[in-house]
Amino acid sequence: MLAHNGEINAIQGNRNWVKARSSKFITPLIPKIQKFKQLVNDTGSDSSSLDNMIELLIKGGVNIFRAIRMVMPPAWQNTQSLDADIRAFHEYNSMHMEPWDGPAGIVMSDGKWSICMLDRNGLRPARYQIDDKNIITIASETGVNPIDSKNIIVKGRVQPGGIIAINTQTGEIFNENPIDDMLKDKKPYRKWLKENAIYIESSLDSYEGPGLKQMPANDFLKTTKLFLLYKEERSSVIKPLAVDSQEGTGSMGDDTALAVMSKMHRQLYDFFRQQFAQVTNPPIDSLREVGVMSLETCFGPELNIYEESENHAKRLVTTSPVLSYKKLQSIINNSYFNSKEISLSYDRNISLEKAIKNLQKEVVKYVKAGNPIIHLVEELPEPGKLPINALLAVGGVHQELVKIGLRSDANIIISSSSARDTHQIACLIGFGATAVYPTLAYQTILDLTQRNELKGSPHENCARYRKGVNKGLLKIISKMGISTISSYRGSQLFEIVGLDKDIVDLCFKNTTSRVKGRDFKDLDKELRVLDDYARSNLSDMSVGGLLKYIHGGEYHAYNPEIVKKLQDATATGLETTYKEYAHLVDSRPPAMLRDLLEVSSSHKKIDLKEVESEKNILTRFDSAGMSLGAISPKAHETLAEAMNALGARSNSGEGGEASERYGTSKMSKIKQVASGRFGVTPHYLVNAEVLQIKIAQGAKPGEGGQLPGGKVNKLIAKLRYSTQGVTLISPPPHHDIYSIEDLAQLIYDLKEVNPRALVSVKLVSEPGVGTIASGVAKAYADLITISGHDGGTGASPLTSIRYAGSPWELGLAEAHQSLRNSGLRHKVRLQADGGMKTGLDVIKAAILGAESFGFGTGPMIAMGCKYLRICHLNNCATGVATQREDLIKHHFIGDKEKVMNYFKFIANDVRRHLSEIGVEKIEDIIGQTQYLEKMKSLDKQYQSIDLSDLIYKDNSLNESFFCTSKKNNPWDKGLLAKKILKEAKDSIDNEKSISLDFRISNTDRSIGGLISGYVAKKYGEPGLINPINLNFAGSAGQSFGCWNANGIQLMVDGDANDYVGKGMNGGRIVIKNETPVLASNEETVLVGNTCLYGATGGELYVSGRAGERFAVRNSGASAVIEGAGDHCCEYMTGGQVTVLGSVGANFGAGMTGGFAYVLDEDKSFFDKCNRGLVNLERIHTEEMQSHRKHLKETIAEHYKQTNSVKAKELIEDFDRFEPYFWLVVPAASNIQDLLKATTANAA
Amino acid sequence: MPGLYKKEDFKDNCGFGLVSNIDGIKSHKVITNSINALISMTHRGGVGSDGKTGDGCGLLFDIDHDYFRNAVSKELDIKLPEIFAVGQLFYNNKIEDILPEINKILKNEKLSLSAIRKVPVKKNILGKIALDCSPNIYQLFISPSEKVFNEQNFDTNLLQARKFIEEIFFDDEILYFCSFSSKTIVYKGLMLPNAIKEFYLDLQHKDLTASSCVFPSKVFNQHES
Repeated sequence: MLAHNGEINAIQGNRNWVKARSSKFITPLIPKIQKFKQLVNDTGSDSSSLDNMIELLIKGGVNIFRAIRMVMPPAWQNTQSLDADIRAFHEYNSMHMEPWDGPAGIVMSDGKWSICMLDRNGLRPARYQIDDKNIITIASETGVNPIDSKNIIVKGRVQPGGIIAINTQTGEIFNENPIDDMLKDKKPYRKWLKENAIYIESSLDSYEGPGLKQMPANDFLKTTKLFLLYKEERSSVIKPLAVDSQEGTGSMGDDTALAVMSKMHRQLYDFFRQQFAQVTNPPIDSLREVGVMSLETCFGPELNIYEESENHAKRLVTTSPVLSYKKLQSIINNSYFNSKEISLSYDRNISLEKAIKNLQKEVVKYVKAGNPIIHLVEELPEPGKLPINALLAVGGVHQELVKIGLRSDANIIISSSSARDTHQIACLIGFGATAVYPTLAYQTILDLTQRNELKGSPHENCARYRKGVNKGLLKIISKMGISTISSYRGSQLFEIVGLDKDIVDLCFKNTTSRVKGRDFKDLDKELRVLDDYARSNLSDMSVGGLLKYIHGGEYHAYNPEIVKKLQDATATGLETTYKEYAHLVDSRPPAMLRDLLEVSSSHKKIDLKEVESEKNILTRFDSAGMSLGAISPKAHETLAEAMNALGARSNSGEGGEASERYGTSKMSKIKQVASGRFGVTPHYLVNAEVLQIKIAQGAKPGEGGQLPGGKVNKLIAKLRYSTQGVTLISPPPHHDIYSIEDLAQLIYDLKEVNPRALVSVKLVSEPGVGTIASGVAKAYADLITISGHDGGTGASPLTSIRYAGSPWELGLAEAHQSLRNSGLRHKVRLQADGGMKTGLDVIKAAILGAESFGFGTGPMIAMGCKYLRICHLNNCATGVATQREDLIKHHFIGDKEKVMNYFKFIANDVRRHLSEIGVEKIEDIIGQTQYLEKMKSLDKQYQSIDLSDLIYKDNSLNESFFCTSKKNNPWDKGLLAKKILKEAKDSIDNEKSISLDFRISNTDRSIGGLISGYVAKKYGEPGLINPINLNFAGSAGQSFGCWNANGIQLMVDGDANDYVGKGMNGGRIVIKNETPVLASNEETVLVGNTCLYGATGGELYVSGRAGERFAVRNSGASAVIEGAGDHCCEYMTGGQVTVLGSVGANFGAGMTGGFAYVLDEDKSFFDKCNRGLVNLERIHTEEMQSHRKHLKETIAEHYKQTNSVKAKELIEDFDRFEPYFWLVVPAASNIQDLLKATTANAA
Repeated sequence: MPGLYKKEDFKDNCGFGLVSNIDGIKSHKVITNSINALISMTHRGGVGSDGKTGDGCGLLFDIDHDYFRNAVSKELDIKLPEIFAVGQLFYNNKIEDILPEINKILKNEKLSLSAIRKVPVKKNILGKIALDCSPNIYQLFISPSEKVFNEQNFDTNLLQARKFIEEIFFDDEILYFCSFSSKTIVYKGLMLPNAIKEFYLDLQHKDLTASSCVFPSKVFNQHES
């Protein structure tokens, strides 16, 4: 009954919870509901499951609006301005159903009602128009049914969490306000909650029980050894959380052996790799858009969702699933529900698997006996007993309860000694835990405090630790695009690398696990060895060596011996030294999946002379994207020079590039477009052979980035269009890529501005990346890069570096197989990167399907990097990853020869391998997995790892193994854009002005991009001296005015869709309505979402409202609009915005530059503004005279360009409106200096 | 299935929309406007390697009972009862094979099957990929068999009947209901928006009217073989 645009991020969890609750679904309206084999699709599209769920609710008697609000609630937990009764309605619902979370727009019709609703974040667009024949058209774009302006009565949009509903029987239209009002009054929700829900926080002050006690030292030592709490974890993981409430930061990638390959004891959590949102849905920005996030956790058995009673409100509620000692005690001893404590210790003489099965039975017994709160305890057992690992226990118990339909009658609380960091805690919750009590973390904090390694009271330190873990949890779930912990719970959003089927089936059913590995017997054996060690050995805990190389600790692929050997080789240019280095790498103890595969060929060896040249092979090498900012200017230029000299390509990274380098040997041929859009101007874009859209990077997929203020010097501020000394933030998602169709739009935008360039998309390996790659190929990308989890970084939280993303071998093979299967392999080039070191790595990657190869850390080491891992401190002792001039001057020893040596060595190494295999060129081995086989003589530990799916080759497909297309051309031929260029070309070439008129429709996309690219190529940054005017009538397609160059002036009489002025650099865009729409102008929406994203200059005038995220990442454009949605001016670093009407929530979040004027007639702005980084000033006082003058001039110009009714009203009576204006100023800025930038621009 | 590529890993994404006459007045224009809107959002969907197969688009609109009454009368010479629901079904084989089972389930839900209509389509419109997996498309006309009509019961029985019929195979690739309702009907398929009207001949008829029409167009393939 519905159409759904978007994606449900936690679909596995939602489906599991439906199963878990199914026995409670009783409704007289569907008497046979308990007979259905499946309530909701377990396989198939997430849309169909959503459809099933909503249908089941409505047909079962739930009011249609309550049903959709229950399944897709708006953001209610942290929205200050929400009515208390509406809030109560949502809270009440949330106690028995978690949101089906994800970007979503739904439209539905049941014959009476026609409804459209958007997700809480407003991540999909929904525009509507009502005409004079009383027809309403709602769609993802405006202009899909073009009619004359004079026949349109209303032009609007649906806002985040908003609804538009038409009752076709009565002819009434409702938005969410009357609907929510109606819903909140149906039952006394607020009263029920007040009288029945116990909010644990508020009862803590009166807590009379005992406090947290420290463990005896002996036991503490044994416990830390048994649960693998290495010394480095104390200082690098727990301490930062307890001091700053922040996760520890690290730099460079994770070069340790995979857990399944390691010779060290590794925690079970290390086998679990986090998934993250990529392309088809966006990660959420949990820092700036925190209003939509929630960790609220409920306890108590769930009841029948078809009934509403006060009993449904009888719940315990905490603000977070991470418990303090007091909270834990309050929950265990609550007055509503029985709780039962069950120890995870079991007798040594039974097997681990049996112990888990016994545990399952025991838990079921107690739940059936009426104990909804099950408290599992993982701690040091008495001698003769062993502990079931918390993750195995939680997973096993959760799966069993779901299976027998009891899961919603129980809550699982786990007191864990093994889970200390945010990843480990996230694993427990992701596999079903309701709440976690990190007992050993607290004991460690007590210990650290006692030793004076931590200041302050232990209680406060624990509280700070909790706060940090909460932040980390929010980040992990937001990386997946999920806003509430209740949706994350049981969603199993991990890939398991290295556990066998028996473990997965018992404890983690349906979780992706593709290479098998350890089984129960193996875990059992290891546990016993570990137990003996923990109890018998009196020595202290070892340091570890997982985070940084330690002699005798975990294997690191870039250990000091290898780093030194590589540096010697590249410095001297001696092939023999390189061969020694290659030998160290190629014969290392197996650390990565590819180390278990060896090259084997049935051909005879051929002479090296017959193999393709070094020069040819070098063209397949790219240096990975590292920004100027992450590394020093010298290092950045050296890399570019070297790659260019080799006939290969270097990648600018996301920091922009100095235009002096264009057209020289120092130019970066690959220009990156990342989420911060730093320095992305049309001039930047046309000086590239490849434009790479960085969706994610291996070290921190699903997260944004940060360049600390200390590294933002004058040069970097200039390149990135920002302010010296101010921290630069890259948002987690590209705000113009919330779905695959958005990515297709950006790819199209880039192809318009630079038609000769190839467009590349960089993805990170995770299960499902194959399908994403196929989608990206269908979106007309020319190149796809699959990065492994072990990619490097300048700075990233430790848990991201270590746990997010999967090995590139899996992602590459999956993408290659998927592309072949969809008949698309011949259209795109596939590249792999992530810790590539030698020719053998290249050969193996090629055999798995790559035709191009990226190298990041390698060339850095060639330039002198010693892998010290202090990049994030700006103290790089080798001058590579720092902006400090002294360090660069005195210590940087890199030069282009060394980098060239590195790549030449690898190319020749590749040649040697090819000759051994007996083939002439790389092309002959791409995707030819018959040349790889699992090594025969392997340690027992590696034998169970199954790589057969990895090296599977489908011989039945009639599809190429590599790219054979020059370019992947879009289906959209862009005829209007070509026509415009043709008609304007002469004037541009001869520097004359011209004015042209056209009709435009929503299918005419990226208009302005083609011509701006042409101007930028010809005239560079300054653009046209004599402006040209392009006038349009109709609804402009997406990305109107993208990358607009100086001197190009666009005007639309009608309206426009999303992304107006994307990346605008100069010139002017006007969107207006000559025939004003018949209904109220204050509500008329003329442009869509995410306009001016990454704009660096120019002017935009809109005589109507804009959608969400207007001027996000604006770095220099000026704009006037008459109303906006949520998150206006988010992350703005320059330019100015004037809003002559109301705005939505979270205005100015992350705004560190530029300024804004906002007209606040209904006095609601103060609450809508995110005042974290900005201050509000009034402008009607004496000293603000120059600002008043500027504002008046701005409004006058707006009137001149648009004939705006509102502008006219303001000009004629400015004195009356003056006191209602606010000036929004970033705290970092000086008010007096604000106007200097604008007057400079105006001149 | 060997290898890392899993067919089930697809995702939905697309454009969507709704055209509605606010007063509930039915017209053919609502359907054509919806199709035009779908076509003008083609760039939001994906195109498969055969250049023709889209990733699925469809239309959901309120049932025009008069239209189907006429169609069934004209094509099958059957007079439909006053009250009926339509089940729009994709089935890989001949419907006659499972008719006894369907009838049994319907009988249990106090429903009866009045007519089966093979939905008129033009297959040569489809691209090769869609053609390879295109099912037979049927309309089942179902009426309540109880003497006294109760709308609530009818809706309940329809839902239950549909669930049990789906359980015969429990596999969308073999048997799949696009819709099964007395109020709304869904026409969908693996084709580009500009082909849906060519493919489903019903959609070309000026007599087919609706007051509200909902439409998705998808990006990822659901049934690509």
